[in-house]
Amino acid sequence: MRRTLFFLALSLLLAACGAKQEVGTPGASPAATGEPYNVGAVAAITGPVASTYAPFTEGFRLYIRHLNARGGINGHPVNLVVKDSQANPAVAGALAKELFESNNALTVVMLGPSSNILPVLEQAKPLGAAVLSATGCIDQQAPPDPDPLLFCTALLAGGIGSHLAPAVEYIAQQGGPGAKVFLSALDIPSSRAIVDDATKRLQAKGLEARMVVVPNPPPADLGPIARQGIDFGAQWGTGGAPEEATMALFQALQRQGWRGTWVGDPPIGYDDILERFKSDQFVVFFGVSPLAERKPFHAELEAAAREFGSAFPVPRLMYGWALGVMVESALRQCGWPCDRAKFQQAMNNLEVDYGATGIWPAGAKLKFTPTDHIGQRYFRLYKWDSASNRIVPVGPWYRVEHTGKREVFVSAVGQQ
Amino acid sequence: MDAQLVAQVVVLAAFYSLIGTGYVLVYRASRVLNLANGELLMLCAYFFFSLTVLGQDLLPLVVLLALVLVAMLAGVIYLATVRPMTGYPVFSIVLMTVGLAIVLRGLAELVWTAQARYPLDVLGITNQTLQLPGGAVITVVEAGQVVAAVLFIGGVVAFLRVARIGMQMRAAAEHPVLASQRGVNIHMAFALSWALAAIGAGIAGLAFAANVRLEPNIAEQGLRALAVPLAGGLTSIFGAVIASLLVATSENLAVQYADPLLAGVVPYLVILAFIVLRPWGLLGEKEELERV
Repeated sequence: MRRTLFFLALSLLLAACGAKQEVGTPGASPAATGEPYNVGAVAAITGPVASTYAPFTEGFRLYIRHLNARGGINGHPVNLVVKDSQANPAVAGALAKELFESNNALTVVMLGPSSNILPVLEQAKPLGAAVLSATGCIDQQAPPDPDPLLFCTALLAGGIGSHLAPAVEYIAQQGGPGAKVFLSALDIPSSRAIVDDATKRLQAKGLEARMVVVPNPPPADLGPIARQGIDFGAQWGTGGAPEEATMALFQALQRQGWRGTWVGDPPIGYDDILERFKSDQFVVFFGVSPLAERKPFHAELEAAAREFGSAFPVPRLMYGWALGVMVESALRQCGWPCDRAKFQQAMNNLEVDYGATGIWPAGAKLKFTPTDHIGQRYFRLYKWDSASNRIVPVGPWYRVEHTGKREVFVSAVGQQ
Repeated sequence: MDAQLVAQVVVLAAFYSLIGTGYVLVYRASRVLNLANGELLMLCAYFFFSLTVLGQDLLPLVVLLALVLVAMLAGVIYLATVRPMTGYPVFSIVLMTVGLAIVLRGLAELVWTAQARYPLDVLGITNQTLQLPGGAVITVVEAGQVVAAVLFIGGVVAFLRVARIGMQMRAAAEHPVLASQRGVNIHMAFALSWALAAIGAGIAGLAFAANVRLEPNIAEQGLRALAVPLAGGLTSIFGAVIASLLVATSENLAVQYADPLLAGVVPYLVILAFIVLRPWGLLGEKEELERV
């Protein structure tokens, strides 16, 4: 009997830990007492890429709680239900189905690796519901003929052609023809495609570029892979991989005495990462203004983190917060009552004024159209300045726009 | 092989041997493949991270406390979960360790979150590099890991051969009934094996967290190191050391001369090769096969 009870207790504990679920609060404010907007989220808050998506999801939840506390959207709170996909495509699909059917979700936001996008979309299609994928954008979202239900909503990544476009521009400009560039991808489809595309762009500009693919999950020692970059004689390094792979490779290069410059992509665009290395050799593109710039949205985010509590540092919450701004804009545009078809229409013509609160430079807006579900992205390079002991921008904001599936137009905008 | 490659092989072999020795110790004692060994590695690193509040000056104490905590945890895990399953099929106990791994990883995510951490940064310590003869470069942490692996494995072998409790552990492992009849507290001996194994994995975890990063998924390194006991023989510590060198060499050569993607595959290829060609491993015992 004791053994039976023991195993029963153990089984319950296992079940509790394996099926982690987070349910957002549907607005405690007296002002937000109307019927809620039901929004679902399938998020990789545990599993191999959790270090990226757990804080991202937390930032998104924080924004929704902050929104509900301010009265929601015209008195209607947002009921956000978050479910943990563990980055598993099959699980992501099953959870999306549950969110649509059991929670009557208007839309499902997918926060996880790009491999999870299509399984979620498959569940949304029969219902005509929009899927907001907050990860690297895939070709099905790019102009001129995006999937009508699929929108790319993360600011920490672009499309296959655009994600590393600013890094390509910067390295080509600074390094000049003949410069040697070492690029790393993680062994997942989107990362490989992004880095392969950037490698070809660099080569087309006359630079020598070599791409290496890091196993997923990364092995204990990336020294042998770093060695390839050193043997290649790389002066520059960049990559399109999640934080754990990129940082491990840069550190492995450093350990072997590499003296080149690493140009990081937005998934490592956090203040704490620049503060950690304090190195002129390490510059990073941010997809939102860093906390160091103290923009109005930072103050709101910090206040919300204080009010509602957060297990993550504020810089890690910025991209999730920006996602919340986008979802709020879409719901406002949808109005009340909002159904799945109306929400999809709202997303098709969405305009988000990210410049208003300093997320992007003043005047910069993200716009989706029926033929473009990626929109414009703004990226800016930052580094740690040893002289002033703070994070400083390197050059202007870059505006990146898809003109085709993988064709992009990059332009410098705003102040220097 | 050039000097850098040799250095990389030795560093990686030290890492694998620390974990692999733990698998062997637990298997020898309780005939269980502890598939939660990687989670103990990860937890020790988190204990270290949490204890960094004590400051840089107390670093040796911080390391020691982290290792003591993980050893105690492993002993408690044995007494609370494995001991009650005495008499059950080994397969059930191995499955239980899989469940245990899920629980431990889930708890780590709840307590410390999934965010990547860098314990040395918290302590304000820079992981300096060391120039070795031949132009090879490794870090101080990597050098420390190699020294720790030598001391740990040497210490364990000496302990099992010389110390009274070590001999009791061997006796309990070889014939539990006879040992029990001679007054050996076999469950305490087995719990001690789990604790020693956790210390080995813990040292590897501390080195990984200090050298690379700390997040719940570093537990997967434990699974990669499973190639070591399977190739070396589940009952042989020396086999584990030789297999560590074999796996580390294969992994480095594959990356350098074939494809970096093979780094993720090589440990499992080694497992497959041994299962097909020499299932009892390099220095393992044939009769143990049935139990696995």
